[in-house]
Amino acid sequence: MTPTSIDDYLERLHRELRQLGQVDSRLIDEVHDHLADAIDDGIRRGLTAEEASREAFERFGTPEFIARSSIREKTDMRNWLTAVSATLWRWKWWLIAPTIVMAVGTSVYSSYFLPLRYRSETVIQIMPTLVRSEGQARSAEAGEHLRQVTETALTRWQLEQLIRDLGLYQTERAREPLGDVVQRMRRDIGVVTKDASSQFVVSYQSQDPRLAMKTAERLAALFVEQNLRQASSNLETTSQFLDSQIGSLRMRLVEREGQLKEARAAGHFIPEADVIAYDVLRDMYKAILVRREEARTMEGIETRSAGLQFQITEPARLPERPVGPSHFGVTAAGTVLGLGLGLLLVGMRQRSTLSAA
Amino acid sequence: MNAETLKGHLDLLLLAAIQAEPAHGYAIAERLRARSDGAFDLPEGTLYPALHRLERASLLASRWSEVNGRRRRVYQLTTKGHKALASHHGEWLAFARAVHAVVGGLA
Repeated sequence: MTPTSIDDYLERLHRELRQLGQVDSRLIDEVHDHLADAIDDGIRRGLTAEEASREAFERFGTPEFIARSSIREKTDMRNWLTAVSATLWRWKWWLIAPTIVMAVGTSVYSSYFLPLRYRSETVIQIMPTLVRSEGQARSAEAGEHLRQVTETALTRWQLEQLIRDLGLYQTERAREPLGDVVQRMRRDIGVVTKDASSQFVVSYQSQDPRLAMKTAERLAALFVEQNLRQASSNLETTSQFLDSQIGSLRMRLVEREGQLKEARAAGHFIPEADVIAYDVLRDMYKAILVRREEARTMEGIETRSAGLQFQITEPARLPERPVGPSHFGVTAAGTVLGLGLGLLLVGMRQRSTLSAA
Repeated sequence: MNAETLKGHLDLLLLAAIQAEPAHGYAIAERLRARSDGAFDLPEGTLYPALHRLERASLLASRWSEVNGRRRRVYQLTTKGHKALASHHGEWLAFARAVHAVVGGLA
């Protein structure tokens, strides 16, 4: 179908391009100029306006064909690579200069201005308690247990206490709300399991080696303490639960006993089934009494023993060498940033030259 | 000459047509038609995507300018474009000579 006018042609071209996911206003502008020139030319050669238009559209190719050939040219990977490398080469100094400046800048900054950081570590052994029948602590169980203890040991309240006691983050506390300082502290704390969860390391990083050690010590103590607290609360709930069970069982047992006695006294026949039911109830009562005694004994013997015991095997030491900052890492990051900045500049330069022309 | 045959040599033809002096799309199409005595008759619309591609490859540079009271996108060769033209041209001559040496004997 031949287009009726330039506008009609351009509209179809625009629609085609949009369907192919590529709107190219410069192409549309140029096509407009070309068709207008071609029609003028035809009229000058003595054609009627209609004949000139038809000739111009025929020579130009259908909008669908032009749109497709435009997409084909654009998606040619090799051309694209050539274009990118040519652009980069053309603006190479815009790329190289920021990269060098950033690399040198961050290298100097990290060597002379970034404060050194020290890390102190405590190793804590996770051990099964004596009264446990399974013997060895399973690693999945130990991991889950550690997760629970970590949650209670590193609560905001506990950390605020530590921050106040040890006078941590004084400059930050002057600027930020305490909640943010606690977040900062959580980032400086590390809890990592080792040896298939049979032990874990609690660490703390600080600019002051002495503070790093003190804080790591206190953190380890927090873990041990929270583990104990959790263990004793577990035991309490167990024996409370058993007590309530014993109460209700006892009532049922007494009631059933009364019924049986009455029946016997009256000389009634007692079905075997009723006797069995009574025996079962009695056995259950006995078993649960034994369980309660066990729970009580455990509470008595050692509060620290519901499940897993934490024992500090390596106390925190004063760190001798700083762990950071990594000069290489900082410089590498700076270099990458500079490269990114350079690419951005090249992109902007190229774009402005293309559109300014 | 059909469009497919032409397409392989389009880059060389476009660079050669623009080499002497900067031109806009319509003028380039006219030059190609005139210089080939009408033998190069490919849809003129396909010139633009090809011109844009050559520009992306930095062989051409373009800018809007006023020609005969109408705004037009004018293309010109970059230094890299001149070099590419010279090398394409050399390859073409070598190829044409070789084809002629083989086919010419048959005529």
